[in-house]
Amino acid sequence: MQTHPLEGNHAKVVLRGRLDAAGVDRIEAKFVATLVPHGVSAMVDLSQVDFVASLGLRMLISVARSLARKGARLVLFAPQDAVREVFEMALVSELITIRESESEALAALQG
Amino acid sequence: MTVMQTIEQVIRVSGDMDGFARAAEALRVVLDDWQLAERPRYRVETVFEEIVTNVIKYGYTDDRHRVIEVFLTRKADEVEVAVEDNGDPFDPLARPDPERPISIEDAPIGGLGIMLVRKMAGAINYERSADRNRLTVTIPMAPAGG
Repeated sequence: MQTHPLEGNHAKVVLRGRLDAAGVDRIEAKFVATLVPHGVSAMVDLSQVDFVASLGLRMLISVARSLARKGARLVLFAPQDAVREVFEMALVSELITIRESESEALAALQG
Repeated sequence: MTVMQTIEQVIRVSGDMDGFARAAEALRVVLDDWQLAERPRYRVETVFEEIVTNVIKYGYTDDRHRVIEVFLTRKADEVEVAVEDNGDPFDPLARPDPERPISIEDAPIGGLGIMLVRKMAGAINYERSADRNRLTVTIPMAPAGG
């Protein structure tokens, strides 16, 4: 996981690998601590994430909810096809903004 | 060879999350060997993860020796994933999927795993016999649409 601060109270986060039980266990504390305490609106690059299971969905939903309560946003972008399908099956794509490209994600973050 | 043979593999999972991580590695070796297409492979991995982690986390309320076995069967047009455990009787299909949330505030974080399994499965069946739960999920090789 890499974090790049952006202008304003925004950040880009690049996740890599698998958001399965082991992967979420490794990054969840850092992911939450990076964004939630200061209500940092974030765009999350999923292009290098090749697997998301329910624990990964739970992590993203709970961070999106915590940020929403602070008036901040979570925007996901560039999911691989199989990952996008999981978001759709779990109805997450109706709740969290997902964009195809980084520029669209940035626009959604700032809009 | 013109006829696809049925191939079976068994993965035994020790009953903790470290054991799960090793079992997930073993699954990936089997799936590499089977050379499944991306989508059925993703679905088999998801079904394995969701069901087995559920059994490990919630399937046992005492300290009995845990026996968790996953039987993988590759057929010509589908893969069958059967998870057997000696935990407490539990039919994950008895619980309805969470309701469609209207906002992130209402979004459920429980029940997502079994919801994914239901949507990915071609067929799914629960049995309890000889003090074991057996959940069998079939994944079509070429699922149509979602």
